[in-house]
Amino acid sequence: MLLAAAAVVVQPLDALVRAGSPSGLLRRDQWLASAGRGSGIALLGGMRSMVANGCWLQANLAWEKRDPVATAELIHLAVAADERPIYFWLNGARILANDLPEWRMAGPVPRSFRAVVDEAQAQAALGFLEQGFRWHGIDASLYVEMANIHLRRRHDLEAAARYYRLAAEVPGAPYFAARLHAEMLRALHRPAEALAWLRQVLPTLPVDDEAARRDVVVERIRVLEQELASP
Amino acid sequence: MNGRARQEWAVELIGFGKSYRAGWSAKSLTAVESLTLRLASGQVLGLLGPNGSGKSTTLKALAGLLRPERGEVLVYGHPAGSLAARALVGYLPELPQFPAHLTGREFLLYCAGLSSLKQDRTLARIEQTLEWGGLRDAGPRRLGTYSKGMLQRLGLAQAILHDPALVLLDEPASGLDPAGRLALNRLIRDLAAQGKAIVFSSHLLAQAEQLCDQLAILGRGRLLVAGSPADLLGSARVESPEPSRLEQLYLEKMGSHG
Amino acid sequence: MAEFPHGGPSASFRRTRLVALHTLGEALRLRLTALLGMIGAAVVVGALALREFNFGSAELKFIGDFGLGAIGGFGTLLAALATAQLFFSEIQGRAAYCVLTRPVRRWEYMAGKFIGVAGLLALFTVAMGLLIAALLAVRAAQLEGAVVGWTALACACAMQWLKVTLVAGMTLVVCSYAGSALFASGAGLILAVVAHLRSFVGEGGRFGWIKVWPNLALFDAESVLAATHPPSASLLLGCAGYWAVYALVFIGIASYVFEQREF
Repeated sequence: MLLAAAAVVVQPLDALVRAGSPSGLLRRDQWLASAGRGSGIALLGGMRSMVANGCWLQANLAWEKRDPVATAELIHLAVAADERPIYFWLNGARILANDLPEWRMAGPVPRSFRAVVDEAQAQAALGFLEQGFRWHGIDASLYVEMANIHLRRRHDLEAAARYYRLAAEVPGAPYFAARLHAEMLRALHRPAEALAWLRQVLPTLPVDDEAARRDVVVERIRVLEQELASP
Repeated sequence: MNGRARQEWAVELIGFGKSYRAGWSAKSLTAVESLTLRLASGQVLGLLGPNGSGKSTTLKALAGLLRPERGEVLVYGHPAGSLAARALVGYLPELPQFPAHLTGREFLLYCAGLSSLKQDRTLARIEQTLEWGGLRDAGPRRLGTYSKGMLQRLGLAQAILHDPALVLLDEPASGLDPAGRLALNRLIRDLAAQGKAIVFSSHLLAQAEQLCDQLAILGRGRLLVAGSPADLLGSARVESPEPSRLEQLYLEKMGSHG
Repeated sequence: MAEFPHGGPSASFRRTRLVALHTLGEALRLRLTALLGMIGAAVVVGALALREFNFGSAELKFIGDFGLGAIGGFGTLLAALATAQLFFSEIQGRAAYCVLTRPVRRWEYMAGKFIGVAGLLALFTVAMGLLIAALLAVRAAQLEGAVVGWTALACACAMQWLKVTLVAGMTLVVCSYAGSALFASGAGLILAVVAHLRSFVGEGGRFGWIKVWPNLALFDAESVLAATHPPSASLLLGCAGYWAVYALVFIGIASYVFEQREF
């Protein structure tokens, strides 16, 4: 009875803590992803970070050995144990997209095969980042990473442009995301859209923040205006 | 004796009964069955009997460590175990083990604090009880270095430290050498002379015959016989410790009880 | 004759304090304390090996996580094992009889035990926290762009202390009726696991009753350390209030059960 009364009394405190805490709870699919790999006991003891860090360290050791299977598995295990550090998602995606293709293609391979492997790993990295949205939550840096993969690994400017824009629209996003969206539109030969976008972004950039690079945006607007003005 | 007002009795056990259950499905075991005893201030009561006869259970009931299932247990009119009763009681458990890292003085200081002893009296009282226990020089030593006899004497010291009105001693002679037993006898007599009531359990029949004003022989939780040594033995107490006529009576009773 | 112990709140406080100090003194002399302290410190210091991985400034996150994990993991073990050992050593050695036959209320005894163990856990947390801080300071100076949130670290350590003292409280509840230190410490650890599983329980369902148990996942020290801003006042107050409610509940339940216990 006393415990039940306590549970009722602490409900507002519970809400207060959750509101102030950046953490999430371990989801069932995360739990299933980590099951059977010996980390259960530590997770039950609330040592998610330790387990995740341990998996990440093992992933690094597997990375040093250029073991694609172990590296990928341990990266997934790290985020299954603890989805909160953005560090795991970003670096994990980079390893999946950039390093694993090279390891899988030891020695000279036909260009067509290389393209298949690159695409497969890029999709694996994109899927990994999609999972990041579900487990970690919306974060501009995840969109930026997806855009980078579309640009550098898949050479898909359209998709890159879309994801740079999604990143720019997340509150607190890095300023360069908006600039890169405009650059993608230019690369896609859509200068009018790029100009409209930059004109929309410029008023939102703070004057006193050097990282906002207003001068760069102003210059690019000027160049685009000139480009569009000339026949 | 029966005419005394209730609050004048130091100890009153009225139909006291206690049973234990050894396990979840075990049968109930009677430790004490309908025990009635009374003791006045300044008197010494000896509880005698073989192991498992209910001596320790009776002492624990008086100390408030367990509750009576049947009957009443009163200490100076207060229910045993109540705060009022516990303030009047000093208890020595059987073969106690004290924290090894504390010195004798530190442990007594701890006990004094728990008994709400006035600060100005505490240190003097500690020295006094250490002296009584023959532990004056051992006071600064850690309890881990004490012998069995020294620990027993320290246990006695903590039992009387706060000057209780009722002193309960469970097998106080355990671990004591003959000199220690003599000192114990002297202490019990001194406490009784100060008007305190003392109840102790013992296997040393000669000691009980010498010291006690009242004797109670228990067997399998039942009171077999109780009374003064004179009443029980039919003549003046024998001064020399052995051979003991009480011992003869005891053995006789044990034999008849089976 | 000794004074009659009506004393009131100040006398209760004095007796509780005496039991607490006595418990803390014993706790600091337990071999268990030294063992878990040394192993915990070794785990924290072992985080220096992370230099080999060249994580850059992210290495500080790993050092902090390993350190907080050591406090949480070894602190939980210490909370359960020390509580049980300290409780039962007095009961089984009958030294507790010398206390309980004095005018000491059973709740004062239990509260004193809890506070004594909480003191032990505080010293453990502070020692480990200082060690973590020293390692972070050394590595932050060596790594470019690395910044340590000292306030966040202190708050994170405090959260771990709150968590492990609740484990001590759970173990004390078990001690109040258990027959052995082994059972009590094992049950205490299992109850700590249940408290971590609490966060899985949804509304209603077969396991809804677990919601009466505290949710230790709320005391998320690693997130506090990893956050870019210092923890909010609402978070800290909420955690402290949550802890206070359950600490009182556990002491209350333990005291009530212990009151019925016979020796």
